[in-house]
Amino acid sequence: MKVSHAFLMGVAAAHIVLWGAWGNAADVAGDRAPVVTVGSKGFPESWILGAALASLAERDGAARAVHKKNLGGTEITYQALKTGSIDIYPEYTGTISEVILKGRADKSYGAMRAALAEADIAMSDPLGFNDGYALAVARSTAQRLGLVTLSDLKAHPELRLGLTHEFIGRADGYPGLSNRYGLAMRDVRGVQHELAYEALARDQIDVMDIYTTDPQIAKLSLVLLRDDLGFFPRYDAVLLYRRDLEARAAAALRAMTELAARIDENIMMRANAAVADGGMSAETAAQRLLGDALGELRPPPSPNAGGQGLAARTFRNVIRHLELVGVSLFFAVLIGVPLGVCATRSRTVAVISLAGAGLLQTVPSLALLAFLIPLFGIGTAPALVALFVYGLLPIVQSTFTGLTSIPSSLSEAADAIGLRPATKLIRVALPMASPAILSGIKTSAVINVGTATLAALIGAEGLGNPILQGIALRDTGLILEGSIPAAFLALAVQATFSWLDALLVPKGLRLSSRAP
Amino acid sequence: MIVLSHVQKTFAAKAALARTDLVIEGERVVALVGPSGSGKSTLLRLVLGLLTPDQGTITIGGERLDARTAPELRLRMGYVIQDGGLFPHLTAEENAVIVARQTGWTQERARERLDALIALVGLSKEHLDRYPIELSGGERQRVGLMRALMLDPPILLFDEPLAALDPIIRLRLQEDLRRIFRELKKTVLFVTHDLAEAAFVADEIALLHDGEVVQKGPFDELVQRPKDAFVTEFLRAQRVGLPGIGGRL
Repeated sequence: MKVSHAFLMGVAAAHIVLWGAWGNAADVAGDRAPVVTVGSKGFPESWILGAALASLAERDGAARAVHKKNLGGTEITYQALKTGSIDIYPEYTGTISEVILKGRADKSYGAMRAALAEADIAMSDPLGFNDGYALAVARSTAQRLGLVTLSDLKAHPELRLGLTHEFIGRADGYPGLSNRYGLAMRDVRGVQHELAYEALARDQIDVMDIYTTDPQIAKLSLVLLRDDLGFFPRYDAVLLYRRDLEARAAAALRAMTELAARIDENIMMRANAAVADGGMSAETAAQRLLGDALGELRPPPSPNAGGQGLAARTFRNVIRHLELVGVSLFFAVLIGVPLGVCATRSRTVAVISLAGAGLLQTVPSLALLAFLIPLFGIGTAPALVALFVYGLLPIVQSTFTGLTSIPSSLSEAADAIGLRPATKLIRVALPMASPAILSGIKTSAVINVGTATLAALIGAEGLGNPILQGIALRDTGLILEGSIPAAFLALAVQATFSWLDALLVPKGLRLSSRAP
Repeated sequence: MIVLSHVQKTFAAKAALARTDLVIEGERVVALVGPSGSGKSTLLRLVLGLLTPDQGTITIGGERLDARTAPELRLRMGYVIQDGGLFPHLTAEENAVIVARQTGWTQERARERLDALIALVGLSKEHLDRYPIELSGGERQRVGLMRALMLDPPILLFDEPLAALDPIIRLRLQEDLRRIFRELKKTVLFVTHDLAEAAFVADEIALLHDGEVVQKGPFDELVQRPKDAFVTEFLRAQRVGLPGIGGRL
C-alpha cells in the first residue's frame, strides 16, 4: 500500500510535467504566424508599453504575440532577451549605457547600437519621452528654502533624503550625483519608490528620486530640481529587440517600431496615471496610449484583459503555483533522499552534499534566478530549478539526520541478524527515519510555497503575479488576491503532510513516539 | 563449533581482546562471563563478523570467517540482544520473519515455522500482531529469540539478553532458555555478567578478565579449582562459593 502511494505520487508529478510540455507544443504548432514574445519589467510604464507592443505585433495578423509581463529588473530582462526567451522589450538609454553596457560605450546612440550589435541586439529610435531620474521636493519645501536647482541642495545638508535602493547603488545615481554637486547630505536612507511618495507627502522625508514620467509628480505637485550641472544621463525610452526578428517577423517589427517619436512625456504620464491611480489594466491603458500616440481610435478591449474573472484567475494562479511547488518538490525528493542516504555512507559525500546544499540555500533568490536565466531562459524551467535547489537542503539534511539517529544497537542488530544492506535500508532504516524525512519534505514544501511567489519575477506566473503587480501598483486588493490563496496553500500543505504522516509513518513508530 | 585461534583486537592502543584461543564445541552451551570492559562484547562482535580481528582467525562450523563469508555465516547464527533488539516499526511477526523473507521464504512457510516456534518460546498467537512497544520486556525477548531461531541455525549467540528484566520474569526466561537449549541441542555462546545465570543455563563458563580468557570449564571446576586470585575474587563478588549460598545453584 505504501509503495502504491509513492508510485501514484510519481505518476501524478510526471503527468503534470508531460501535460505542461504537451500544452506548450500544441500552442506553438497551432498557428503559422510567427510568435513574438514581448517582455516588460516590473513597473506599470513597462507593462503598458509591453502591452502596446504586443497589440501592435498582432496587428493584421502579422504575428502571435505573447506578453511576459513583470519580469524582475534589468539584469533578468536583458538576459531573457539575450537568450531568446523574449524577443523585444522597452528599455531606457541611460539604463542601457550604465547597467547593460556598464559604460563600455560612450553615450551616443551609434556607439550603443554598435556595442549591442555584438550580442545580436538592436535598438530602435527613441519613442519620444525621457523617463529620467530627477530629485523632487514638496512645493512648500521648495518655496520655503528657495530650492530651484540641484546645486541649491548644497546649502541644506540637513534635508532628509529618501532614495530607492537602486538609485543609492548605481554609479549614475546618488554616489555620482553627490560627487558632482559636492553634496554632504547627513540623512540618506533607502526607501521603496512608491512608499517614498507617501513619506514625502507626510513630511517624513524632504527629497526623493523620481522618474520624470511618474504620475504622482502632478498629483502631489512636486517640484523637480533642475540638473544645472547636467549630471543625469537621458533615459529616452527605446525598444531593444533581437536582430533575428528582422527576418523572422519583419511585419510585426515594423508595426512595433512605428511607435518611435510618437509618445511624449504627457502621453506616457497619462497612461501611467490611469494604471497607478485609476485602476485601469495595463492592456486597456495601452490601447489608450496607442490611440493618443498613433492618432487612431481602436476598440478598447474588455476591462479585464483575457476576459477572466477573479475566481478563474485565482484558480489558474493556484494551479500554476501548485505545479511549480509539486514538480520541484518531486525532483527534490527524488534526488534529496538518495543523496541523504549516500551521505550516511561516506564522509566526503556527507560534507560535500550538506555543505553544497547549504551554500545553495544561502544564495538570494533573485541572484539565483539571474544566474539561471542564461542556462534555462525565463519562465517555468528556471523557476523549477530554483525551487528544486531551495527544496533540496531540508530533504538531504532530514534524511541524513533521520538515518544517523537510528540507535546504533538496532543498526548493529540489523547487520548481525544477517540483513543485507539493501534490505536493511528499505525495511529498517528508511521506515525508522520516515518521520524525520517527511518533516524535511514538509519544510521544503512550505518554503517553496513562499518562494514560488518570486517565480513571477521571471515570468513563471503563479500567485506571485498578483502580489508583485499589487506591490508595484500599491493595490492591496491585488496583493491579497495572491497572498490569501498562498496562505491557504501553506495551510493545505501542512494538512496534507499530517495526513501523509498518518499514512506513511509506520504504526509501531507512531505508538512508540506517543509512549511516555 | 566456533574456534578462535590467536585472535587479537585492539582499539586505539588499548587491547580490547588479547591474543585469545577459544573453542566452543558443537551442541555445548558456553557462557562468557566477566566484569564490564573485560572484552565479552568485543569477542561476540568478532564472532559475528561485525569486527575484524587484527590478528588470528575465527572459524564457524569449519568455515573461515572473513568479510566475504560473514553475510552467509551470519545466517547460521541466531543472535539475541538485550531487550530483543526488535525494530519498533515492525510487528512481532514481521520482526521474526524479516530475515527468512529476505532469504526467499514464502509467507506460508514463514507462518508455519512461526506456529512451530510460538509454543517453544512461550508466546501465543495474539502476540504476533503487536508492535514491540505493546509487548512486555520478557515478551520482547521471547520474540527476539523466535527471530533468532527462525532459520533453525546451528549456533545461537546471546548478548546480555536478560539484563534489563525484573527478577521474576528473568527467572522464567532463564528456565525456558535452559529447556530450549537442552531440547534443540544448539551450539550456544551466552554473554552475561551474572555468574549465577551463567551457571544455570550453561554447560561451561569462560571467565574473561582484561581481554583474556582466565579460565574455561564447568562451574564446579571454577569454584573448586580456581586458576588464579581473580577467579576467586570474581566468584566471591557474585556471592558464589560463600558458605551457605554458592555451589547449590
